[in-house]
Amino acid sequence: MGFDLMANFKRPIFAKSTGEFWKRWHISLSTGSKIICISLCGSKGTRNRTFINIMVVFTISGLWHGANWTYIIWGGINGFYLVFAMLTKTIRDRFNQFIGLTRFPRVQLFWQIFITFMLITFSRVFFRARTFDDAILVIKKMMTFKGSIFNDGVAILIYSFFAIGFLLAVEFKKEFYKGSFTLSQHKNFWVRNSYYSLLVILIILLGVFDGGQFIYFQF
Amino acid sequence: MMITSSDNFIKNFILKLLAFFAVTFIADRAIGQLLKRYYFKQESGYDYLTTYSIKKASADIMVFGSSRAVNIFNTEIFEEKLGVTCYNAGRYGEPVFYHYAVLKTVLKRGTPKLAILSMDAGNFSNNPEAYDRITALLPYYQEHPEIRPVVELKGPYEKLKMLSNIYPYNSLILPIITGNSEYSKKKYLHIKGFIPLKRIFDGPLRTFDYSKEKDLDTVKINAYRSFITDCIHAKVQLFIICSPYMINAIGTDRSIREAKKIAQEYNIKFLDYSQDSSYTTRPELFADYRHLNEDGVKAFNNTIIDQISIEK
Repeated sequence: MGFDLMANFKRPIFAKSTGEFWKRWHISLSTGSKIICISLCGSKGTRNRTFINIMVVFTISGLWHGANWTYIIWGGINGFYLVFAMLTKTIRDRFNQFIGLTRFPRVQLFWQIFITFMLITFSRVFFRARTFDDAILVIKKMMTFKGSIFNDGVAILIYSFFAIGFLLAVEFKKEFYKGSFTLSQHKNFWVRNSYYSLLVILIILLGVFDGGQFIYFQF
Repeated sequence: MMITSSDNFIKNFILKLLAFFAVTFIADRAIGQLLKRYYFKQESGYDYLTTYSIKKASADIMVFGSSRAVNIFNTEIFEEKLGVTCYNAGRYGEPVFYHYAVLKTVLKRGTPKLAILSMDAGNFSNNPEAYDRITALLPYYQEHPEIRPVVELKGPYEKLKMLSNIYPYNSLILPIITGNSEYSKKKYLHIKGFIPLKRIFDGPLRTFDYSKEKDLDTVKINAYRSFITDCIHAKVQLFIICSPYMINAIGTDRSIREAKKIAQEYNIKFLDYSQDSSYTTRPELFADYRHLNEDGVKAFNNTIIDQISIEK
């Protein structure tokens, strides 16, 4: 129709740093935040000024999500990640070289993605929690082996892993193996046809047709 | 007559569409059959108990209801005290539609001497989730025409959806796998459908304000009426029992009041212990605010057995 819309998400789960994460996540908002940051101190501000502005921008970004302390803390944590990353970049690079991680680029890549994912997920505890106390409770529960791992039943846990695994595989392929998904565009008509049928079958088998399905009723 | 390229395109498209439907149909039949086979092969779990209730259960006393039936009516106590056979055909979280459907299958096979319907607060409340829970009956739709009208309450397209062989087993792969495992046999222990609760209620005491009137679902009320009339027609003695709640209640639940009123219309005995102070002041008899624990069940079952006399 002649509109050229910007991509808003670019597989943020594969970001190698929190800085890169914000270049991939909610890109329109991140771009807006970057503009605010530059307008606050210019593109050539001092290092300290940049740090302060990052913290201000992320706190505002938190408030933008909702007027709650949890959002402000979430913003603060993410701002801190960026500042900390900038402050410690040289030390971390040297350390990686020292332990020999740089000699195994794939391992290093996986490690960076893993750490970024963990950091972002941790900050989201505050984003998701209704209150600060709830967030602290969630974090406390993360540190204990007491209690059930998933209260809603094993079935939901396994279905969730299955669904997450499937989506992750799709994202993984898009990120690291560019090109089309061959089954849907296979030259052989019967392969293509069977693939489409498989999708329909999966929908009937696992799809949610109402609230009573998929969800495992306990009581 | 000349065949144009557009004719060829339409012909090709229709052939491809037919091929797609054929492959999907065959896969649906094959996978559906496989799921059906293993669904009915289960030897434990909630689905197995439903299969048993619908296909085999036969006893002098049949108990129907949700978790408050499953956890509260101890078949052993009934058998011992009354000298008859008893089976608990309740299922967790199920509304009156399910109980009515199971009753229909039981009556098709035979006639129990007595039926107990466990009544819960809010049984007739407007709650769309109750219709979703009819899902538990889908695997029995084809072989049990007597339950079809109940299953079709689920939605206007249910008949159409049931053309698929897979649809009745939607989201059931994991329960089917676990239901066929040894682990499940150890986990889902029951005494003829009764599952005792051992834990003791540790609060907090919840307050339920029943003075605020809520709308009732007439479809649920009709299912309840049908349950009563089917029992009357089959000459099955019926008791409707509302077991105790460990709550601080303000007023009486509207569903219970309505159920009591309808039971009176049909001259059916309605035993309401929902707010009986001999239970509601003793948290040690409860597992949680809705369910009596093992000790509570003993006391409660003995109390109601004293009021039950089976007509010969």
